[in-house]
Amino acid sequence: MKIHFFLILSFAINIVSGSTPFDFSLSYHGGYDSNVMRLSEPEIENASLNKSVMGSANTLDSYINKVNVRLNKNLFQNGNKELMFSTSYSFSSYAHNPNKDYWSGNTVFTYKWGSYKNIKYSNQHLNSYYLRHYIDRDISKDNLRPCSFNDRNQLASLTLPIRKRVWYTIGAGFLQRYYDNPFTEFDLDINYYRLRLNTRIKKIGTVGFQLDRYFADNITYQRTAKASGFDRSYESLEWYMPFKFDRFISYLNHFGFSIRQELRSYNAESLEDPLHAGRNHKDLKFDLWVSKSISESIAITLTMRYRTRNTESVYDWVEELKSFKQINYWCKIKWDFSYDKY
Amino acid sequence: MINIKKLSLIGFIIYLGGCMEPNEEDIWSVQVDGVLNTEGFCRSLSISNDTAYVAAGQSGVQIWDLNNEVKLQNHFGYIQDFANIEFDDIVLVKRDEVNNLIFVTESNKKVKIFESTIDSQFVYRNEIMSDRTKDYISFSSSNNRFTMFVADNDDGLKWGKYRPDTTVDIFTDLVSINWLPVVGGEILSEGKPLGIDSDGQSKIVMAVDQLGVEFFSFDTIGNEPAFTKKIDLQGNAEQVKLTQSGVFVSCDDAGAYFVSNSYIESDEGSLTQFATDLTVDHISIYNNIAILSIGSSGIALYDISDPENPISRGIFDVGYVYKSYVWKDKFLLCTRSGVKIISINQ
Repeated sequence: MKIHFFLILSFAINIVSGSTPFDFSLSYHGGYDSNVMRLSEPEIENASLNKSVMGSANTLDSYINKVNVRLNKNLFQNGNKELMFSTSYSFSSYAHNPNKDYWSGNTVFTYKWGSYKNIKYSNQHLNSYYLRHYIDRDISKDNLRPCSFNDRNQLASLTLPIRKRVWYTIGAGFLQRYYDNPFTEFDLDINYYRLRLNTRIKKIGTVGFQLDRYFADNITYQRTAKASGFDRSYESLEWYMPFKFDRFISYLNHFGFSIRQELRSYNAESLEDPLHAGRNHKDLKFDLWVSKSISESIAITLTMRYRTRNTESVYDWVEELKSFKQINYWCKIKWDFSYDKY
Repeated sequence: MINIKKLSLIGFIIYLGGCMEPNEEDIWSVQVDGVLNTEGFCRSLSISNDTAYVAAGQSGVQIWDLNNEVKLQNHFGYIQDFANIEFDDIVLVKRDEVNNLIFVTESNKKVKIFESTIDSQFVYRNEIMSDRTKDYISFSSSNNRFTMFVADNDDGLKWGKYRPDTTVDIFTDLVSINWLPVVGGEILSEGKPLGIDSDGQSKIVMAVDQLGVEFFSFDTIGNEPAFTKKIDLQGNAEQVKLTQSGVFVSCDDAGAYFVSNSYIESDEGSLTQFATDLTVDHISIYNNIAILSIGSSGIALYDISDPENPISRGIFDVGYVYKSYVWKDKFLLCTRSGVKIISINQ
């Protein structure tokens, strides 16, 4: 799992001879996260009294530095048929919370045979993404340890047109969310299905509507010690609506906003597990962005996200404990360039 | 045409990067193989020849066939001087197989001696030691003798070597057998003894609550022991377990300790505290496994391959556990819902 396969991948692609250029992009993201550990209000109040909850961090918020490198290459082209490859690697560093540093990467293969006609396979990896310090209940009653997880997300999708300027995507994915030791009791295998509709509105931009249905299986339920006695399996439905405006503006390249909401319901019904039994939550993310090219190869994008998660439970303390608010700001500077040895 | 070499490479890359394997935690697992429903709280037991002699709290003294998980006998009381007397709350039961005896102690009382055979005989003999007996260990000899070391909460270490004394009532011709001390005595302790263990060869160790543990030695079983050392520990020392490499001590509110032999003998070895965040009531040892009984939280397992560096292998919620015992390659847990027979998978 720890093999840095995206680097191997990049190397492998490099050794493949081809007549098309390598398209690169390099971007720097400067960001701010108001609630790095996604603490609820009672937890924030408690953190002022018991700082160990925050691990080695001194603040709840953090400045973020992120660097991203992306490689695009057209592996094969014949008329309107083409096979494209894309891979990227990102490293994020949290200035005020070193636990949170992580890297991520993805690889995408796309086979296109016309406008809005493609088959895509993507594989994303998120490595040791830190949440916060939790008590390792498998071996202790109060020993706090850093809790982080790895995601491996594979998605295969098919995109086809419905009619002029309207197209849809259907897909099926498999997300493995495996936690680092000692929190493997949270491990999930998540199967999900995607349906997305897009339409381009003349002289305005594009609008999309996406539905994802998730089925998460807690594969380590009752397979570790005391901590795995609770079933963390859940089902969820997520809807996502992006609005992108790129046609009626002159100064900006594009701007847009999106709304994304996840409705999650835990399967647990045991009265001995008040934290999960009958619990559900609504996780709402509202994004706003503007993008401007300052030269042929350099573009700047500003992004803001407001996120709020409201938990519902028969227990008031669970509702308070598992609800939080978060604000993110990002400023991205991207530089595109090509390498063509021919 | 698509280059076959490229396709093969893509397939290989997808294969490489496809799924990932979950991490494995270095913790053990526990499997409950059976439950002996004692009805009352099972506070302690004694194992002899695949038979468990159970202190079942207010459900009296019970004898269970462990192989078949069948209750053979249940004694809620006994007959003394033609009177039926009910047990109050049994906390300790020990079996002396050689002399066919069962030692029974109610909470904070003396040690009662019963003669017991497999044909359901359960005959009261007499009481020995004194009130506020918290724990004891006995060693039998083949010539109708046994030697007992007692943790007496208000006195200290009591010990005695006992023999049967047969008398015949001249009026009723009834034969009565009492176990009387051949030799014995006590060594006063400043602490409040709660638990005791001995190797039957030369060592005795006693948990003395807030004052830690006290060590004693003797030449041969039945000879007077001598106080050798006291080691103060954090928390309240409740129970002790002697091993070849040292002593494990369970301490209420302070976890557990391993005291190495070299530390006991010369203060130069290690005094290792572990499970510091747990309230440990009792420890049992089997090979490299230490089972810590932690009351309402169940049991905590530790790998003691290196006893000076115990490694936690998990807390398992198996009910309210008072004590644990080794039986063959399994473990018997004394819980509030009976005796649980468990296996540990390392």
